[in-house]
Amino acid sequence: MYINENNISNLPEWLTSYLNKLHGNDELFNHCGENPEHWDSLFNRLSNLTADDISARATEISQLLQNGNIKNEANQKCHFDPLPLMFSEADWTLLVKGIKQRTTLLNKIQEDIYGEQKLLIDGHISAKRLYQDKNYLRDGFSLPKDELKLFFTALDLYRAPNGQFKVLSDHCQCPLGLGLLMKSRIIARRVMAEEFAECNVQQIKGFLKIFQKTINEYTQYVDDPRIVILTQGIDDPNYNEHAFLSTYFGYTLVQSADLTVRNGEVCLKSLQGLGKINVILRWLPDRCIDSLEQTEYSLHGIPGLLQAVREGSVKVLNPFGSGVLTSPALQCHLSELSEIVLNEKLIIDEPAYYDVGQATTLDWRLLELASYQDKTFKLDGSIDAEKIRQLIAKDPEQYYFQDKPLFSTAPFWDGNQLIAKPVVFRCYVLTTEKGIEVLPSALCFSNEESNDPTASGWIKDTWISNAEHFDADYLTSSIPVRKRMDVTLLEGVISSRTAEHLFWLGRYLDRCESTIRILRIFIDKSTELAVYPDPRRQNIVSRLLSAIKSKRIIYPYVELQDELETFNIDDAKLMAFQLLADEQCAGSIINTLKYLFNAALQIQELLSPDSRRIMDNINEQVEVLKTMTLNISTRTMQTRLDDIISAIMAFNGSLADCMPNSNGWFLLDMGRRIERSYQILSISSTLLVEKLDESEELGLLEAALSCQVSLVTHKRRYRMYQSISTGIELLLLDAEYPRSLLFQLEKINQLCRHLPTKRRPGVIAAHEKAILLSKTSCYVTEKDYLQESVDGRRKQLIEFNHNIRANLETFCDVLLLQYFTHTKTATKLNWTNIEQAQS
Amino acid sequence: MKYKIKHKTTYQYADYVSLCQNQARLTPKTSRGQICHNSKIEIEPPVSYLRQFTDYFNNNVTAFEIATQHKKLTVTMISEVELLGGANSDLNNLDMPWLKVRDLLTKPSTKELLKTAEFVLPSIFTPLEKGIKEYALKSFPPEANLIAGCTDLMARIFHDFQYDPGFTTISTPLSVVFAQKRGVCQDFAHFALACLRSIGLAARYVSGYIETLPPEGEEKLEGADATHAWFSVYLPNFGWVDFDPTNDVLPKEQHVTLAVGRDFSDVTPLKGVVFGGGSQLLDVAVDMIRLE
Repeated sequence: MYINENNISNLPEWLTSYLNKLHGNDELFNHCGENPEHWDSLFNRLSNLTADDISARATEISQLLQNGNIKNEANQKCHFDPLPLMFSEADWTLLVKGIKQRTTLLNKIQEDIYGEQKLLIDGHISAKRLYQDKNYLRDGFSLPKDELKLFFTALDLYRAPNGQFKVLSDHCQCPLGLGLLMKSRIIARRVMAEEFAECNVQQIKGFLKIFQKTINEYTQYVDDPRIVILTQGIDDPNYNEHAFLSTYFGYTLVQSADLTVRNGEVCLKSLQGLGKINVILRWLPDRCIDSLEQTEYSLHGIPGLLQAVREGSVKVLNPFGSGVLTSPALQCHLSELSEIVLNEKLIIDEPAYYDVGQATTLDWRLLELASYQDKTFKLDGSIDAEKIRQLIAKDPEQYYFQDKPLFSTAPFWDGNQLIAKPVVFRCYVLTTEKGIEVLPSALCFSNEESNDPTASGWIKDTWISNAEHFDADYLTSSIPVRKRMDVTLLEGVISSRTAEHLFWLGRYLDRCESTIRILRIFIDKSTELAVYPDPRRQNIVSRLLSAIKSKRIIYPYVELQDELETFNIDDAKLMAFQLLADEQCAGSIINTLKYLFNAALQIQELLSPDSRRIMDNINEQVEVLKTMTLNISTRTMQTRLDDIISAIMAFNGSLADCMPNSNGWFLLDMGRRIERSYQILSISSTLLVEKLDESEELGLLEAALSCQVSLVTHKRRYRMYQSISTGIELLLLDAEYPRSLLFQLEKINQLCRHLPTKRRPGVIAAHEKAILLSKTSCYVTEKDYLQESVDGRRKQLIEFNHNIRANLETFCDVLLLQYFTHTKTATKLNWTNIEQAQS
Repeated sequence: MKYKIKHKTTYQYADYVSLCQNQARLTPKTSRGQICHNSKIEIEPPVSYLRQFTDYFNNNVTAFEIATQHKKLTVTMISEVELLGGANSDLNNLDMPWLKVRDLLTKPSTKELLKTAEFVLPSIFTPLEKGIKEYALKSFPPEANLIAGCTDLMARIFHDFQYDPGFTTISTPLSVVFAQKRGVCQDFAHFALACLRSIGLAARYVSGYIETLPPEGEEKLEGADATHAWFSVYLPNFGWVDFDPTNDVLPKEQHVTLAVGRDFSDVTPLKGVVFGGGSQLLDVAVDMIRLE
């Protein structure tokens, strides 16, 4: 039990009440060691904190934790505990030794399985079980043998009641949770800065440096090495983590569709064309990584990838086939294998295994049944004894028994007190040329609900006291300095897919702003009408309503030649509601926000933490909109609109921070300008084309100008005389005015220079031609020409707008075709028809 | 016996294909009883990348890529193969009780047995279906010898099952083939594999060609030969013995082996992933000409 003779009486009540409860197998109560110095320094610090202080910290932490990532549903709730877990020096030394031994063993087994297979021939591993394991990958045998060494692995440990550590599972494919651990460490250091310093906690930075250094060594002979993190995409529950690691390490985050294999090399489809990839950190299981070669067809596979590995042109980490190491067929015999392969006893082993025959004489209440085929299958011997009997009677070979793991508990802060929860420690390991490195910390999580730390919800940072200083020399001196210094000048490459998402992010941002402004004006005009009902106002509201309803001035900006219908203005409120919160209406604010959020999610790794937090807020707005019903007041609607627009403005502002992160940001601006051009064209074509009496025309002009935040400028600039003609000049033709159409076109033209050119100098590309044409017609057209009307309609304005719009569409098509993802559907074919004539 | 084999696969697409990645297992093996003297692969349009390697089952694989736009792809493999015949002559002397073979395979003690033991396990196309073991055991009473039992099983499949080219596709489950007793060579091979594996014997799938002879008095048509499939059983101290349940014969001088594996999915003669293309039209023509 934890006793600190000097100050046990000084401990705060919240801590003593935990210690005074009975615990059977608790990290703090039972396993603090003979001399709990490691806890002492922490508690000395904490002794003057009250329960309220701890609660305040817990709240601060939960807020900080949310800031780091854009939420997706999979990990909504994450309780990061304010109290860290501490290991005694003796415990940690033993753990490191045990983990290193185990990793060495796993490496040797992997080498044997995909090589000589001595362990199988001698019967130490059951060949039959291994052959049936779906992680035994036969394709691995035709790959270069040096591809087999593990890189980054993890293992889950727990502490049994007798104080011994046991292994719960190994993670040799794509170990999860490193990002979570890093994030929690960053927060712990902030919230518990003093305790952190006091306890002399070992940093994890060194480990991460070695991580990068090891990867660099794979590419040291390459001038411009490209390293990517391969993720399944935003559907992956761990996408946040992939994005986090991508940002932290500066490796491009890619999905399978971003990669293509050419001439035995894996290439990234980037804005600049195809670029060779040197290292892939895969966060995809190896069973479905190549949709050509592997039997299990997967949408996430990259056809030809294995051939590239075979060529040695790309390094895949963790190596292909490493999943087999977690197969029960060999995990069951690791203790035995250790003595054979290493001639050593396993320092940390797993709970004892029994085959079905052995288990008949044992007390099942202490055991659980597991399957060789399905790692997730578990049946508790005390609950499901009947079911177990049936299963093993049917197929005894398929199952085995294992001691039920008895987890130690650790104190977690639950609102107002400490409660004991069972815990698992996930430790991370690197295998490098120079040896095996263990991360000097662990992700401590409660596995009450799930064995996945990212889903479990209750996590703790683990502090290891700094007994000896981390070998700092190793970190600084031996990082290879590249001979070619110009490498540093190269900016990060982004995939075409990311480029496309940036473009759409820009479009959605501007679309959102504009739709909100339209709705504001619409609500404003219709409430004004209710107070002062006169025919002129009524006409304007009716026309606005019609323009929105027919989707001429909102997305998809329908181009209609006919006159605006007049609508019953009683529909005004319904219309306002639909435009705000109707998910059936394509251009509604809720839908645009959803697209916006999705696009932001796709480029998450390029965003700053602040931008991510604001994006989170925008997502919350969507949730609020979803709950809205028709009977809300216009006032509430207006408040919502204010909130949304301030979030969008804040997001726009925060983007400035992200811009230096990548060279693709000009596309966001381009998207914005394109969208704005569409809006100006559609608004002027809808509201300004009919020749009406002057006061009505001016009323509509006012609405149109307000939609484009140009009303004030218009009034100031044309103080003496205002007409449709002056409006047209300001909105369309003024090259100096930042909200005019011509200004947007000029900007787009400038931004085009950032696009990698695929033509020889002196020749204008198709998309540039389209913009040049539009610009020119703006420059040469007179405002009075556009405002002339025939039979009450300004046909010349309509035609002018139509032509420019057609040019914009050409521009977008070219952009899509030449620069964005050219993902065509991949079809898998077995080109064989077996027909045999009987002879 | 020497043969010249021409295997031409033509693929036509409705739309342009911008990229395709492929793997062919079309180079005949050189093994006991068969020598592949030479082989060459011709691909149209020209490939941008082509490599050969040997897979887990020792088959020759050609991996290739076409990165030019095309609407038609032709892969032609021309090879010259010599069948040595007579390799099975001492087969009956080496025949041994099947139960003994089964027991040897349960605890594989040599590299060869280890590799062989893999072919005892069910695979994707040869799942252990109800009733299959019972069907198999009729050919394998406890005292039976391995080769005798297999010969009997082959004959029973030949008589019990009806050859029906339109009935099955590659995705027809084995249980349907078993229930309806219809199918093509591939189904019969898979069924035989499932039978033998159900009783603990090692059996593998063989893909290859068979020479067909025109009806008497008629000339052989070009492209009339076909790809074929049969099964092979492991006999200790001898190796693999082929059986053709479609024709109820022990392959000798008319069967050319392309590749072997656990089932069809390991030996697919030509597979690929294409980008674009839309709907496709496939044509396969095989010519197997006796050279001497």
